[in-house]
Amino acid sequence: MRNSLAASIVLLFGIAFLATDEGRAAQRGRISGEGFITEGVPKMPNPPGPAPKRDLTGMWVGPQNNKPDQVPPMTPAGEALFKQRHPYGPASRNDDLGASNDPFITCDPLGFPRNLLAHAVSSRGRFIFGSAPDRLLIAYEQQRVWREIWMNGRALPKVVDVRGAPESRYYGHSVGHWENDNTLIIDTTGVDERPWLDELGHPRSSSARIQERYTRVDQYNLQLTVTVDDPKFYTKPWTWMRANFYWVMGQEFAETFCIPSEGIEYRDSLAKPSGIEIK
Amino acid sequence: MRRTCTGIIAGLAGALLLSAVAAGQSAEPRSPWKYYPEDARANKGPGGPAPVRDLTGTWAGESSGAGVERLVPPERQPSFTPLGKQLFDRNRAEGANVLVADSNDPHVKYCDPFGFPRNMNDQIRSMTITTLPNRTFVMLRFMNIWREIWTDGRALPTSFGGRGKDVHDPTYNGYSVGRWQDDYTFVVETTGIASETWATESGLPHSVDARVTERFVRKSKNDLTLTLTMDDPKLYTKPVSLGEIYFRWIPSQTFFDFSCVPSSVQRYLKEMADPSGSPSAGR
Repeated sequence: MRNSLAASIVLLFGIAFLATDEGRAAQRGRISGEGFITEGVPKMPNPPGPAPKRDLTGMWVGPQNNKPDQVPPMTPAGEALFKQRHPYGPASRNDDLGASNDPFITCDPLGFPRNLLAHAVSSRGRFIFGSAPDRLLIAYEQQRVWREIWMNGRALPKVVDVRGAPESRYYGHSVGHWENDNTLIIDTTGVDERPWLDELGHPRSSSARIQERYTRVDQYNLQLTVTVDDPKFYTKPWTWMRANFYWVMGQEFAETFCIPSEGIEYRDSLAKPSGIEIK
Repeated sequence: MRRTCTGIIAGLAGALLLSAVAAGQSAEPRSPWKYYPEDARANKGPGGPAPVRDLTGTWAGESSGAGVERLVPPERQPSFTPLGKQLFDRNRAEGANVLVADSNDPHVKYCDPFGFPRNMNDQIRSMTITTLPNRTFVMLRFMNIWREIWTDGRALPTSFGGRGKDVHDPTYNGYSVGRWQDDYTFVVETTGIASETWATESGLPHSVDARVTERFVRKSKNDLTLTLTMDDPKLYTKPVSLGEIYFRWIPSQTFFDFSCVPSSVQRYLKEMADPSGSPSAGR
């Protein structure tokens, strides 16, 4: 049975944990087969080697020690949208999944940048950098989604979803450049507005500018700072994520999917048996 | 507005065609962020020789509107074992005689992951391939999902489910290894696929022990052909062709988002496809 991350993560700490490789492995007192899945944050070599220049290729796990800034005051439009959201989970101190309208409960796409948060049952997410012509590609363990980062100097689209302009995307449109030999900057805009910014349900607009700064400190340590600038919904920019990622020794992914049929069945049969719609 | 798919929403091809015609006729500035099917169609011919042992880049699939050849469908009626026939008869694929509301296709009803090999033969609109020293990634545009193919010489696992030191859990994408048969042919073997997924849109079943072989043949710079064959003695008396799929190199290397969104499908089923909440007559 594959890793099955139904809907809302936390509700599943009891149920879904046992439905994952880790859970099953723990249950059986074994580690899943050598060679294809190797679990665990590795012990860091002491000291790690220097960071290679302009190279993030390989797999990283995190975020660890996330210390974001406080979310700034919202604009009236942001407040109005935020009030419609009914989050679920420890971040919101609401354990009533049936009363939540978090789109991830039905396994709708997490979207960027929420997918950077640790939605894996293990509280760790892994991603890997690869490349294609003119681009960096990032593959994420959670939901097995991927993004492409254009490195050929093109400008970001100024608008989306109007005639002649590109369409918004769940993971936005992204461009990147190396600020120096160890720091990669990625700028993203044009995100689809349906996904939430975070587990609390903060909104983000398609015109938001989201900047990621990846600084490879050494061979095995990567620092990520994510800044959100969204004047439509927030009164000022802020640092949305400030966290560390670590090199994965085994360089291997588990398969971690949110399965819609399982999430919906759980919601309708256990969490919301009355069938009452939440507005 | 980005495209979302219920898995069964009709008219996308028409909408794509109209948008392509509109784009072709208008004098609007072109955006590097948009996919223009007419550009892909205009990129005629082989475009030069195929590079050696290189599939890297973004390809338009047969459903892309790029004018690539149509998918060659799998055999209509494979030779089933009794168990295979039993499982196949249980699957109600949406089609001429089965309404959406009556289908039990987990993707059509919920947007559950296709899993492999269906994600390589259904809704195959675009894929991007990237290669690392020890593996190749196939990144599919439909559902924005990727699969990995190990190229470090490891052997495939042989035991799935249950307990034991060398037992692996079945996964939606299975376990894949690949090798270059020659400079232009990349062969991938996959097994350990979760058996609740369908192998094709038509509902062909597979067991966890099914062994699927993909042959990616790059015939020129612009042309890539994928053939899929499934060997599953538990369910079929002989190997089954899952089709031959044609890909074309996309000059702009850009494609659009396209996903099945679970909440949209639930709304569609409730409001349009199955408003009574009950099976249709004749089921």
